[in-house]
Amino acid sequence: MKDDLKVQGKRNSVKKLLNDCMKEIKKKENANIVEKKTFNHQVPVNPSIIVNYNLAKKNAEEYYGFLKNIWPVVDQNLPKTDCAGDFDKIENEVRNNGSFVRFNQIHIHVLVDLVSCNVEDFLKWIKEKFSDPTYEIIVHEFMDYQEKDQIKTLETDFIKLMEEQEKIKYRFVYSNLRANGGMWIKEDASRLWRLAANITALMSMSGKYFSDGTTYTFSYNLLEKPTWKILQFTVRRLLENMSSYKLDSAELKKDFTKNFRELLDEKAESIIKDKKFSQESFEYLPSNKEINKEKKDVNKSIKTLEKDYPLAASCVQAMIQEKIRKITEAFSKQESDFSKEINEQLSYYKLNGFMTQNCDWKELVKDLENSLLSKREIDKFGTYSEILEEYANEELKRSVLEDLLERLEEQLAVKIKNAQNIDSWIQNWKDDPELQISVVQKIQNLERCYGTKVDAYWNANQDNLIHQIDECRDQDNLLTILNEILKTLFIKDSIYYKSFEEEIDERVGKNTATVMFQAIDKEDNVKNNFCFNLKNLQFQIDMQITNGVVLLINPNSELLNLQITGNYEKLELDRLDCVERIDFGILKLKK
Amino acid sequence: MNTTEMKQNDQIQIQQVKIQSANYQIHWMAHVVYSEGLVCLRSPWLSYEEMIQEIRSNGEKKIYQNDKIYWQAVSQQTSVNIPVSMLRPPVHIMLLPISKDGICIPSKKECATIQKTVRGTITYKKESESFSFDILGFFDITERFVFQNEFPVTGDMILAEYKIDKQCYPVTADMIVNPIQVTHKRGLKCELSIAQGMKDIYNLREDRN
Repeated sequence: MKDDLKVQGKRNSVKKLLNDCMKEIKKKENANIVEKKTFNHQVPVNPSIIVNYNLAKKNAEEYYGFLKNIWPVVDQNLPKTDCAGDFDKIENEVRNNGSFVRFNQIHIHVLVDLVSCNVEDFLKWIKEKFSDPTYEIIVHEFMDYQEKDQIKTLETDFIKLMEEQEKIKYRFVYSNLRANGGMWIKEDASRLWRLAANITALMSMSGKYFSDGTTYTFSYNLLEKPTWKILQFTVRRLLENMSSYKLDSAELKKDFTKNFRELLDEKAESIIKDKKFSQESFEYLPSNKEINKEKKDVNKSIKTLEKDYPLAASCVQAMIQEKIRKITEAFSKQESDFSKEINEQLSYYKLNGFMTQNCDWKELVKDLENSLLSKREIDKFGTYSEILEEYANEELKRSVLEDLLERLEEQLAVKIKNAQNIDSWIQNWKDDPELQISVVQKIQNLERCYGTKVDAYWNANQDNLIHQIDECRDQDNLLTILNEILKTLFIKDSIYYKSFEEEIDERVGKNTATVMFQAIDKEDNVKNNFCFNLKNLQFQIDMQITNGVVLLINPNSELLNLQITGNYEKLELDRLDCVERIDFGILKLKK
Repeated sequence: MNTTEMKQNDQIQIQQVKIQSANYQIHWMAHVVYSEGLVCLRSPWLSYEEMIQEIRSNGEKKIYQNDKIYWQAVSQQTSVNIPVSMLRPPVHIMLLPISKDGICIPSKKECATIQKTVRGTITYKKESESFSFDILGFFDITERFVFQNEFPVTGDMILAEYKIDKQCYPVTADMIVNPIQVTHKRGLKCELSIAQGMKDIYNLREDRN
C-alpha cells in the first residue's frame, strides 16, 4: 500500500511538472498575443445546459477539459449536470445569467454513450424530463467501435434513435471509427471529445451552422503544435542529461583529505588556542622535585613518566581529561558546522561519481582521520615540563579533532544520503511512464530538434545547473529547481513559445505547415476523416457532405493567405498553437 | 513493570536520611494517593539514563541490587531501614511511587529536587613537611600528604584536588591512598579540597591522628 502511494506520488510529481510547464508556455503564448490583438469572439448567445446522460467519468472529464481550455467563456456560461443533478437549480442558474438576452428557448446538450445505453429508457427519460416546449434537445451521440461484440447492438440502437424525430431537435454523431475505416484510438481518441466540445461551443454561439431536425456528423482535422509531447521530451532529455552527467571523482579523496585536513586543523587550533597547557601547568605534579631533577639529555615521554612516576602520570592524564571535558562542554554548534564547506567541495555529481566507482564514502573520513590523527610518539630530549606541555596540547588537539571528525562524518552522511536521494529521484522520474520515449518518438524530428536544444542548453550552463541541483534539499525542492531550469530554457529558446506553423517550420523544415494545411483541404482527406462509418449501415443511412466548413484559426496565421478551396467560415480565435477544420455531413435514414 | 512520567503531584519528598547502626534510616511523608513505592538508592556513578534503564528492566522486582543501585518496595509505611552495606555512600536516595500505570519516573531535573544525598567522606592526612634549599639557594618546602576514601571506589574520576600557586592538580579515585609528595617555594601554600564537581557528594575531613 505504502509502495503504491510512493509510485502514485512519483507519477504525480512528473505530471505536475509537465502541467506547470504547460501552464507556463500557455501563459507566455497568451502574453505574446495580448501585445498584438485579441481575437476571442467566443461569447455564447444561446442559454444552454449540458447534461451528461451516461458518459463515463474519464470521457466526460476529457470533454469538459477541452471546453474549459479551448472555450473558457463558453465553459463559464454553460452549467453542467447529470441525470442525478438538481435540474431546476441549474435552470435557474442559466435564467439568472445576465450574459443571455432571450430565454424563450433553452438548449439542452445531452451527452450519450450509445454503447452503454438502453435507447427506450433514454428516449423515455428525454420525454419525461424535458417535456416543456422551452427546451430544445441537442443530443451528442458517441459511438465506440473498440468493443467488437457490441457493434451490432450499437448500430441497431443508433438506427432506433434516428427513427425518433419527435423531441430531438439536433443530433450530432461522433464515432471513433472514421469513414476510411481508421480508428481514433489511444491518444487520438481525445479528438472525439475535442470535436464535441467545439460543436457544443459553436451551437451555443450561433444556431446558423445547423438546421432543425437534422442529424450531423463531422470531418475533423486538427493541426496542432505537440506542446505536451515537446514538454515530455524536453523534461526527459533534461533528466537524461542530469543523470548521465558524471564528474571525474578520481581526485576527490585526495582533495577532500587535503582541504578538510587544513580546515579541521585550523578549527581545532582556534578552539584550543586560549586553553593550552604551559610548562608551568606541570610545575607541582606529585614528586615534582624528582621529576625536575631528571637530566635534559635523557629521552623522555609520557611512557617514561608512567613508568617512573605513575602518580604524576595519572595526574597529567586527569588534567588533560578535565580540560577536554571543559572544551567539549563549551563546543559551539557553529564551530562544528561544515555544511558550507561540504556543499562547496562535494557537489552531488562529485559524490555520485565517487560512489559509482564502488567507493565507500566512509573511506573519505577514514583517510582524513588517518592523516590528521597519525600517532606521534613524543620521545625526546628536554625537561619533563617541555615534553608534557607538548604531549598534553597534542592530546587536547587530538580530542578536539576526533570530535570535529565525528561531527563532520554526521554532516557528510546527511549530504551523502541527499545525493543518493537526488540520484534515485532523477532515475525514478526518468523512468516515469509519462516520459517514456516510445510515446513521443513518432513525432517527426522531435528528438533531433529538441534533443539538440536541451543538450546545448545543458552544456552551455552546466556549472550553474549543477550548482542549482546541488542545492536541492528534498523531492519537492528538486521539482521546483527543475521547474526553474525549464522556465529558463523556455525563455532562452523562443521555439517553446512559437505558433503551430512557426514551430513545425523550424523543427521539420520551411513550408511544412503550408503543406500540411493544404493537405487537409483536399477532398479525399475531408471524406476520409468523417467520424462516421457507413460500412454496416449503407442500406439504412445516407450521408451527404454539405458545403459548410468551419476553420478555427488565429487571424494572424499566415496560413490564411493561402488559397483554400471551399466555402469556409473563419472563426477568429486567440490560440496560436493549432488550426482546426470542421466539415459538416448530414445523416438521413433511407426511405 | 510499566513506568509512567512523574507529575508534580506524584512527588514524595524524603524528609530525613541518617546513618545509624550501619543502617540508612529513611523517613518520608505519607502521600494521600500512593501507599506503595520503591525506595531507591543510586550511586552517583550511575547516570540518570542508566538508572531509568535499570528500573524499566527490573522494576517488577521487590528488591533489586547491583553495585550501583539498590531498591526495595515499601507499602503502607513512612520509613525504612536499609543496611549501608547494600550500597555505600555516596548515594542518592529517592522514593518512586507506584501508580496504577506503573512506577512514576522523575525527569532528570526533578531527581535533583526529590532526592536526598548521603555524602561520602574523603579524609586527608599531612604526613610530613621538610625544608631544603634548591640549586639557586631558594628555600623550598616539601609536603607529603595522602587522601583516603571511607568507601573506596576505583576509576579515573577526579574526586579531590590540590592547589598550589593557583594551579590545580587533580586527584583521581585511583590515585587515592597513594602518598603525594610535592615541593614548592616558601610562601606558597598547598591547599587540599574536594574536586569541583564532587562537592555535593563528598565531604573532606582532615585526619589529625
